[in-house]
Amino acid sequence: MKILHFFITRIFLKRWTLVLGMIILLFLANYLSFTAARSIISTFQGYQEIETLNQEGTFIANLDPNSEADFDRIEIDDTKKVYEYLNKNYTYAMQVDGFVTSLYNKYKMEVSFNYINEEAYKINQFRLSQGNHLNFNYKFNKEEIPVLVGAGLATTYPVGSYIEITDPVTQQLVNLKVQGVLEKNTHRSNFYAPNSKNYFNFSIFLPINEEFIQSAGLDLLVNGLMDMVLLDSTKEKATNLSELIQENLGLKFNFFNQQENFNYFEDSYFDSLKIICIITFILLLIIVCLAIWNTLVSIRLMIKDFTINLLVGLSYSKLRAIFYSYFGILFSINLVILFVITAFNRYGFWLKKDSIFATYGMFGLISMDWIALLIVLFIDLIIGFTIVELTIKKIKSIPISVGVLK
Amino acid sequence: MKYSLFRFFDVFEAVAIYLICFASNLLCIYVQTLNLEGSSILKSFLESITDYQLIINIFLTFIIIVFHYQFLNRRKTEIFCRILVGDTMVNIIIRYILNSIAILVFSFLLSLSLNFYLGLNVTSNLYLVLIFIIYILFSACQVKKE
Repeated sequence: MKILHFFITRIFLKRWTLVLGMIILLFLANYLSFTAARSIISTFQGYQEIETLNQEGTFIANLDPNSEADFDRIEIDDTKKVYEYLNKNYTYAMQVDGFVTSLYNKYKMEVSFNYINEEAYKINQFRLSQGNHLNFNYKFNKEEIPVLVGAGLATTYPVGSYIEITDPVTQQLVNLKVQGVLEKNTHRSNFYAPNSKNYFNFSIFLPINEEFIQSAGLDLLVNGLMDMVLLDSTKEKATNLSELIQENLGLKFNFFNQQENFNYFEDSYFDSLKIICIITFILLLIIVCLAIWNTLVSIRLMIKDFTINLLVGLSYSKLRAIFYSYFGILFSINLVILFVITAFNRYGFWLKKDSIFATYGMFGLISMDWIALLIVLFIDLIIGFTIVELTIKKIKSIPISVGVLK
Repeated sequence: MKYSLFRFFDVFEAVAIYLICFASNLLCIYVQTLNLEGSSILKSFLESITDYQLIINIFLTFIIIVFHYQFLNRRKTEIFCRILVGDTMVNIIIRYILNSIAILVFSFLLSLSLNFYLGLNVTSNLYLVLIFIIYILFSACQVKKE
């Protein structure tokens, strides 16, 4: 410990420019690997969620990106016709998120209303921290609607409490009864961008049934079609529905089956992930080369100090231990900086009152951040090992007598 | 480069570092011009880097400070010997500044080929040139003998 302190204060920090250069390079390497790791983890998490949807017999709606959609000419009666047809002939999962409304809560966040039907609810299998699951057999306008609230709303609206509010979809005054509280950080990944997630810590889940759909406004009904999932269906039935939607609403929807979705993911996401890995690897290689150059430069300038210490009895194994400890300290500094930046970014969503991205986590970091930090630590170990072993090899290659003469 | 403190390998090192800095800046600008609407994952990954483009590039320029620092430290004995044989400190400093700027200009001109290849504005790297000139002038104060 004493010798490490001596080396750091008397040898390394004497040339602080080199130490600072090394910290900057290692930080760039850490930031890059952290960003890449987090992107990959987030994509895989999203992909796993989508896989539960993407089963045999399911057809997922996708508004044709090449078609021209004129939403102004869509009439509510035509939309209701589509839903009547859907209710009679199909089993479908429907979830529409993000109807923002202002509802008092302890954190003064905007609250979003999410509408979910029974099939979508069964597929999502949300975990609750308190209370009971939703029931869908309520009478709309006659009795209170059972709802689930996000973890951020649990203190203001505990299980059993009532919320009276104008529903943003039906524009009617509704009485909501809190039936349960969602687990912290319950989220949903975007189907066509699995790396992006919406967190439901400040959301209210309303169950929708046929009766509710009859009273719903155009926004919910049209948005409901966007990510609709037909269950236990066939290509022919999906095509029929697509034709009916085009006839009534003028919107061209594609319904992709399991294999088509799988091919889409294969083509789009795995290629993107491969490109991310390649870019990260190349940039890391360049940064590590610069870090090695920085180390070799340091040896050139510090060789006199090293060889004098070797001359008076310092062994190479002890010198190696000193270098590992020194790089351990540098990596720890960088990991702390990375941790602080990430925690601050996460906290920033709370400061900006961005309810969709506000998350709970240990010291402000959520699970994927911690996993990414672990990956960074692993990459740091490899970089540290490479640099230290090269350093020792370089020092060993310089005869002690030559070093002292310098 | 007559009477220069720079050897071929020093010039090579400096040019390589300058090129890394220029290329990093140009690539950050270039990826922002790409249409990545079809690939949200790639787009958000690249955005998380390009959002901090300025900080990353300025961090990278620090490597050139390291270069000048180690270079001048290694040349202290040589500077002492030159003064011993009749050279003056002022001349050494002026030559050092001019040589450093020549290397910088050469690297900048070399980086212009990447500008043309990527179809980017030739002024994209000018702010880095300015930063490097400031570094050179500061490092000139560090030209000292043993």
